[in-house]
Amino acid sequence: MSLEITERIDKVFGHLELKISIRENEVDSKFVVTQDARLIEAVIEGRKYDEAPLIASRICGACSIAHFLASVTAVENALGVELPEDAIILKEVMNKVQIAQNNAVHLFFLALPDYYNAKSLGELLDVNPDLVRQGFQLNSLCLKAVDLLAGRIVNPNTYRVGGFTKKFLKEKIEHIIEVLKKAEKLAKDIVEQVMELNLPELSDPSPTYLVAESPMGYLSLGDHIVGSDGVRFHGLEYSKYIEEKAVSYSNSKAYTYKGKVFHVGSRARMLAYGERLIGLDEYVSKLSRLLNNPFNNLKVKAIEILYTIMDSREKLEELKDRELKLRAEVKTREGEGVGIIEAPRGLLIHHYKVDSSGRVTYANVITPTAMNALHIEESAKVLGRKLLEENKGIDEVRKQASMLIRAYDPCLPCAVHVIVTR
Amino acid sequence: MTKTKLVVGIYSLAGCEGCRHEILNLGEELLKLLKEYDIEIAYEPLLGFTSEREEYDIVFVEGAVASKEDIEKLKEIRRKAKILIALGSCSLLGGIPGLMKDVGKEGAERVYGGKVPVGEVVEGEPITKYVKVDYWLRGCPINKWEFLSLVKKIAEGKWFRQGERRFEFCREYLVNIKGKILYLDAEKCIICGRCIGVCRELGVYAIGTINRGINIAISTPFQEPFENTTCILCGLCAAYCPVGAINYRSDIGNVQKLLASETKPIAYIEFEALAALAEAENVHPGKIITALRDLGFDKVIVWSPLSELKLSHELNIVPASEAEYKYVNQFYPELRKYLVRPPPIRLGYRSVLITQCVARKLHGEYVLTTRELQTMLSKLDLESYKPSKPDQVIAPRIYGFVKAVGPYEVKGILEAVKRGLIKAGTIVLYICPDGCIMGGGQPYSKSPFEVCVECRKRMLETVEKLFLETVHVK
Repeated sequence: MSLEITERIDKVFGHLELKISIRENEVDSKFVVTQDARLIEAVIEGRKYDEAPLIASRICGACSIAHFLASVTAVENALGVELPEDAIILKEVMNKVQIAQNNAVHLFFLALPDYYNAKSLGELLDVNPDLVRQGFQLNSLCLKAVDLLAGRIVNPNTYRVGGFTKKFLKEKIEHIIEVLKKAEKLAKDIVEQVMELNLPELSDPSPTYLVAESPMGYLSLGDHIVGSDGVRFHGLEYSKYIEEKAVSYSNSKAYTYKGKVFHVGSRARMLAYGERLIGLDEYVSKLSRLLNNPFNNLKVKAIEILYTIMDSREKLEELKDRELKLRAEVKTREGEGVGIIEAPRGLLIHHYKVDSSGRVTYANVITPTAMNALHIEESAKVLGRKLLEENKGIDEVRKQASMLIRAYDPCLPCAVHVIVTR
Repeated sequence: MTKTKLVVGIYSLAGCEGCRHEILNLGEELLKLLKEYDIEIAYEPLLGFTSEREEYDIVFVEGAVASKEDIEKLKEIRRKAKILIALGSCSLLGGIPGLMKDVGKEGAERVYGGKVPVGEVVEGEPITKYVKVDYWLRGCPINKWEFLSLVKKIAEGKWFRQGERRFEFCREYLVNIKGKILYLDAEKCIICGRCIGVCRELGVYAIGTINRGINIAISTPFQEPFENTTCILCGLCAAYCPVGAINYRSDIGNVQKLLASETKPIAYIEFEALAALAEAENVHPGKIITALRDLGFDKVIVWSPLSELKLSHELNIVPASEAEYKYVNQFYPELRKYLVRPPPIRLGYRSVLITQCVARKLHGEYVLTTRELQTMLSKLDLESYKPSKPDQVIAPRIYGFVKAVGPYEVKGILEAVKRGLIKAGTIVLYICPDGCIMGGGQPYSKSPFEVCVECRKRMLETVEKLFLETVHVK
């Protein structure tokens, strides 16, 4: 049996092709990012440090807040800004709420139609109108919360290097809490439904993962990276552990961790910090056995929606009665900083060097989708082999392959501008 | 409204997909729109619509051109699309990909260590450079509600291409405003905003825009007639309007009736009106006086309203017309005690006033502005007349006064009075920029600027001579 498939994947952010070739029981696959290069890092270099987050947030429209926060953190670290505690908490809440929103978009708009045999959201509406309605409501509530926190849904404007530029009065925080309470109710229902989905079986090609360290709880902000082998290293040392490989066929790069293919994302977060999801033990224990299946990324994302909403609400309730101090002094100085953040799609690294006049002399961005690229290829190979054994037709291969890719939730505008470390 | 099935495609080039994310975030609203207007999204891979067509009614393009492949793709899209709409800053201005101009080839070397693997990179350029774009939605990212509104408009056929002067589609939002003197004919309006500009310059703010985006229209507050707003009836908006959407009451009909009757009327023409008309037509002012006689006026009297003024206080603020009177009353009520009534116009029976001032139309039904007179004279060949002298020149009777010309001087001097810096004397206010010579009723000059300067010099000399020769103080 000899077979060449080039599948243009829809329902992902950006332009992506997956090439699977099957030649005499040898399966090969290629993850080809056809998105145009935009040379973001080269553009950032030479500009003033406060321009970097503005450009970085425009790397990707879907996770612009994650890029923004990572970029801002990197600059703050480079300049040695010490943020007040309240600002750090609010920043964390901002990240969590946008993860909830992004996961909701991914679940309802991109991934779920596959599992109800619908080609698009419109068709899903005919099959399961209740679920779609709930999804819409959940998404719009999350959007509302993001809007209130970040000022805009895409490209935030309430934060600058050194802290929030907007006052968060009690009324406003209460408003956000109201919105999150409504979202929480919906999220509970939705998680129940998603947990009951039947996902295809697939074994993990490589159990290695990387995740941003969460010093407390789940998804809190830190500056270390943790690997599946228990190694913990500071963000600035990433180039020692994460190696790059140039690929000739894709505008994205391929990464390995200590020579091994690894994955990042919701599944990695759950593997590392799953036991810290307080109040959701029931779901976690159900999932823990299934986490070696890449398809289960989907279910983890659903649980994360519920957790991030709950946790953000609790954090905001702590903040609401306080007089918030949200800004720190920023002094220009020479330095090097790295921003480590868990973006919706996994570990995100922004690394800048700033000179004494405040210009960025070096910029590097490593995005989750780029780190996942090899892992996706490997998974696709495993899937191809499995389907070959089961003697499935070409249509089934196409269908399952694109479902697999969607389960990873790749985001190609992010992946496309990856850099050679010097 | 006839509903037609619209086929929509949403394509993306180099960009962050933020604009499409915004469209996605419309969620339920988007599906509602598709159902209500019978719209089919044929191509938008993000939503799972992947059936590409040979022809689309609307195509939205997000992102800038950043590779040679994009140019081909874009041209193909243009060929397929009846209406092509650019989404957001990248497609419109180049946006973030446009910044690649600064880094050039070194940038690719820096980021990829050589050539970019897929696609040949060109500098990020707006799509408008390669294809004609029919409309654009601005912003980084776009406003999703504006997107929704635009698609609705297109489905209803009430829309226009960028740069097109078609405003009939938003009739439902336009409001015609009928005042006694000024009126707004919204269907002519092209929303250029010049009327708003001049009104703002005077500090009156009687007119502004209502609604936003594609629904924008010009109106007074609460669509009230001009008389009920802060409008001072200076008529400058009418003078500045390039399409005649704002205009004043025309008295040409009344005057023509008068001219056709047995007893001929008397023409009172103001200095500034005579001068401006002579300048605009580039003729000797005496020829206009002859032409007026030819129109059927019995007598022509060159007249100044300040000739009839009675000053009573130690400090007199003299408004040149009702416009300035209303201006001071409205914006400086504490100075009312110094305010003299505007020049009373006691013209005789069957007399016609020809003036540069729109506000003087308050005084009766036989008030022609210079522009109206220009229209009446347009059939006559002014050049062929012999110059003649007016029957009478009635000059101003006040002397030794201070002139405040234009909105800034008027404001300045009134502030000075308010602070008690000026305690005595006579101040005459002219609110129109550059005074009566640029009044709301003045004609549009046909001559180029250099000719106008020469013409004004000559004209001033002539008027002065006329004035000295036939001056007649009452």
